[in-house]
Amino acid sequence: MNIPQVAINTFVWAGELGVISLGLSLSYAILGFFNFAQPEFVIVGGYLAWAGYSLMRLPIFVAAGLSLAGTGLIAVGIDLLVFRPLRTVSPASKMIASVGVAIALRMIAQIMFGGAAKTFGIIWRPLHIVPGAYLTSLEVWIVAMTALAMVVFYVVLARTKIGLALRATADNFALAQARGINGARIISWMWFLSGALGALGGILLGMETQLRPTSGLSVLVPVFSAATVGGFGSAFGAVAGAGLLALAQNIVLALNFGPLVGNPHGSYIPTDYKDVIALGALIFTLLIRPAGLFAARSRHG
Amino acid sequence: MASYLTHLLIVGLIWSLLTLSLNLQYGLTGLLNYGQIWFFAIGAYTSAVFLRNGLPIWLEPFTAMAAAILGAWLIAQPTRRLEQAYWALVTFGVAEGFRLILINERWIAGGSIGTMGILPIGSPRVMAIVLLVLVAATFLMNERIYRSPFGRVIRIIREDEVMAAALGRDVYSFQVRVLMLGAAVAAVAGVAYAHYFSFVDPEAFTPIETFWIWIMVILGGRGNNLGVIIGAMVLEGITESTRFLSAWVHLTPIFMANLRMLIFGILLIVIVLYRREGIFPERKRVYRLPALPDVPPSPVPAAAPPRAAMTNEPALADRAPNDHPDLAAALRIERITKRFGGVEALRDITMLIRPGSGVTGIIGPNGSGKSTLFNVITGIMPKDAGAVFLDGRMLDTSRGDLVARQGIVRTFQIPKVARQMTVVENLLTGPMGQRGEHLIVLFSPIAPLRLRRDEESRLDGALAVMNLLGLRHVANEYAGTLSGGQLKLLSLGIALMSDSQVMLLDEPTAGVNPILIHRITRTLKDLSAGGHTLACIEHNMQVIAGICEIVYVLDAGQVIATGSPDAVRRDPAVIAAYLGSRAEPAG
Repeated sequence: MNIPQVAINTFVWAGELGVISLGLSLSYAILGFFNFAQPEFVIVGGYLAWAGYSLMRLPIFVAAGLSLAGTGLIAVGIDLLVFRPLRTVSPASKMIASVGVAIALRMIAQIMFGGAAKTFGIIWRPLHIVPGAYLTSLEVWIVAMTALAMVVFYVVLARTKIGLALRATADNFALAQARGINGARIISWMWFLSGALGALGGILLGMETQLRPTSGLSVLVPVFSAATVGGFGSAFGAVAGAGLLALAQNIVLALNFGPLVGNPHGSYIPTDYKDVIALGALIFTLLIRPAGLFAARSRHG
Repeated sequence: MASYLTHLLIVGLIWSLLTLSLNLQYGLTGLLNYGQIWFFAIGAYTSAVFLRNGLPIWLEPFTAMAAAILGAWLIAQPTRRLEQAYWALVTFGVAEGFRLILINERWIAGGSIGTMGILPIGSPRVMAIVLLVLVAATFLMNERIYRSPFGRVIRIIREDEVMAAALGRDVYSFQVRVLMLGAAVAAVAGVAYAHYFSFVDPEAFTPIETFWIWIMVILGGRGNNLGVIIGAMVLEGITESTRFLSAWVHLTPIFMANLRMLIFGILLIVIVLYRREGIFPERKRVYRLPALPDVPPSPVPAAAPPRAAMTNEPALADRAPNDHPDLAAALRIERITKRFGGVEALRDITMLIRPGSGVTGIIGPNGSGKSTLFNVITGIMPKDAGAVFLDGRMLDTSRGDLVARQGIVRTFQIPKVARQMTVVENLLTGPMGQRGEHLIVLFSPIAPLRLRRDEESRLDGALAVMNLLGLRHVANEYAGTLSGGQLKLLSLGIALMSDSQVMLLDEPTAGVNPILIHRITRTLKDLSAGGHTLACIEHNMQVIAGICEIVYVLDAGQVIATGSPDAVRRDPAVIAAYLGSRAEPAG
């Protein structure tokens, strides 16, 4: 097993997964339902950035920045149109509506950009700083940007008024409202943040690989799995869960089962099974500790 | 053209099987199965595997059903007693994981290339007839379940799992059975699919197909078996018929498919927003009851306990407690402690609630822990220390349904009733251990007579309870349309119907009109005299004084006084607790 390579892959994937599941966990903490549309912010953000960079020829950082803000605003708009009128209905109904939103977003992407893969076409130099491992400057960027996003998110949550209001609302919605927190505005902020976080993951994923209308759907299982492993509704849990899941996936994929099955050339689990590993982690967590491995206490009984 | 119509019919019928199956799971039980396509795939791939291995065709449906039932059982394991939403997560994930395995493992059925050449079962016409029979059979099965005691329980679960548990039903076991039953139906649909299209590949079983079934069910009307068939037929008809449209409007078929899916996605949102019950809402089951008397019932009725009407035994009130040692059971609560984080909501609570000596009253200011005590005793909340004994035996309070089945039924401060069920239906769920809650009994050929007899005697009991509680005129109304006081009465009625040894009532008279309060107190007294064990949280001191021999006063999670209603009313500690410790008597 190439340990440096496993470490690099883990950090990159954990970063991408981490920001998306952070958004998912945030919306669960505030609104109490599993938002199946959250992974679709990956394609909203990805395609917005791609359009800015490839079609409008904006510098990549400008395109990415606009995409984050744009996706955040789209998320706020979706809330106003769909989820605000559904505030008082059961979580199950909200979840079903979120499936409708997910389908609609995916189909809009498909109609506007077609089913074929889009790439940013930026050439990233391989760096030779880690012996024996393949590492490009993009991967350094991914780790840096996602880490930055997490730090910024932490600072927002811990040090700003919005963060305080968010935490209060997550803890007890009714009480927070009674104490004068404007629930509607806080929820808008929440959607903006989760949209932007999803978009960041999408842009980075799109640069690293390629962008398809199904890119959001294809991260759904690992994103939900990461949030579950870490503990739904906890910001730290989402990030830690993403890290743990990424590590587990990369280790399992790097394991050589050759000696075990008697294949001298080495036998590896196909990378297509990455999601099956994520699913395994999800089920394992639900079996042993449904509240999540990093949850301080159970939120639901 | 005729053959094209046959094709439309066949496809529509295959999807109808899937919507009927999901209707059972989601429509009636509220189960969030986001992996329905997996069970469909199990069926289709059974056919593919049978073809590749030269196994006999006639075994296929049975193997497929067995595999799907096993799959459903497995998928249900991690969600054991978890929040509803996790069902969605796990079913979705397993369906996707299974599809990835099918794509990558070529030895199963050709991997991503799939398997071709699955033989058709006769002509399309024969296929259509076979499917018609299957859809009709599934429709009848669903209807039978909907109308059965089993159906009542799953509809309670759909609305409120805690309520079902408090009525002694093992929620999880019902959910698993429903999931397995629906899975079997979907698997049969899968076998039919494989033999009709003669080809299976993993692309046919993507998550979008699951949501396609969801859209059909939600549009058609969840809980309405005919509605979901219409939903499947119409949506599949629109899909199939717009395939040709693309040639006329000069758009590519792919664009058309995407546009269609976009419209259906938006449709799903619109339905959830504006018409959650679907185009054909669940039909109300109206029970035919004896006509109402012309004169309104006298305000102070001769309140016979309702039990007499339900069984052929003499009324409980007529018997001395000693005749029935199993009823002469005391509920003993020993040193119960419950903490929420750092707050001690209950500390070392010890109580004896005895049968046949009046109702035991539990009073105390708001927030003193009364309802929490009931929650802990009945297993709705885990306790931190202490034990509960019934008739000398220690109770297993780990789960609400276990406590209820050990003979303790309760009502809630905010009444728990199934709002999408009628008053009669709610009452009929009271008695536990109904034979019709077993699927095997429900579908056995010899059972119907017996089941009908059971149901008739329960219905008699429900009538007596409704007359007693003044709910007769709303018997066939949805509980959701009742007033607050009526909901309170209905939840008391459900408890009465259960005929449990012990009844823990949380403010049974709050919001109820005075005439009915009088009836309720008389009923409670009669029940107590008949050997039942009753405890009652109550704020109305008149009610307490009328029915209670002994009262426990709780304050800040502790028992601060015990005694007769008069004694505790004069107790300085009680006065202090209610008025605040520093309050001076106002003269």
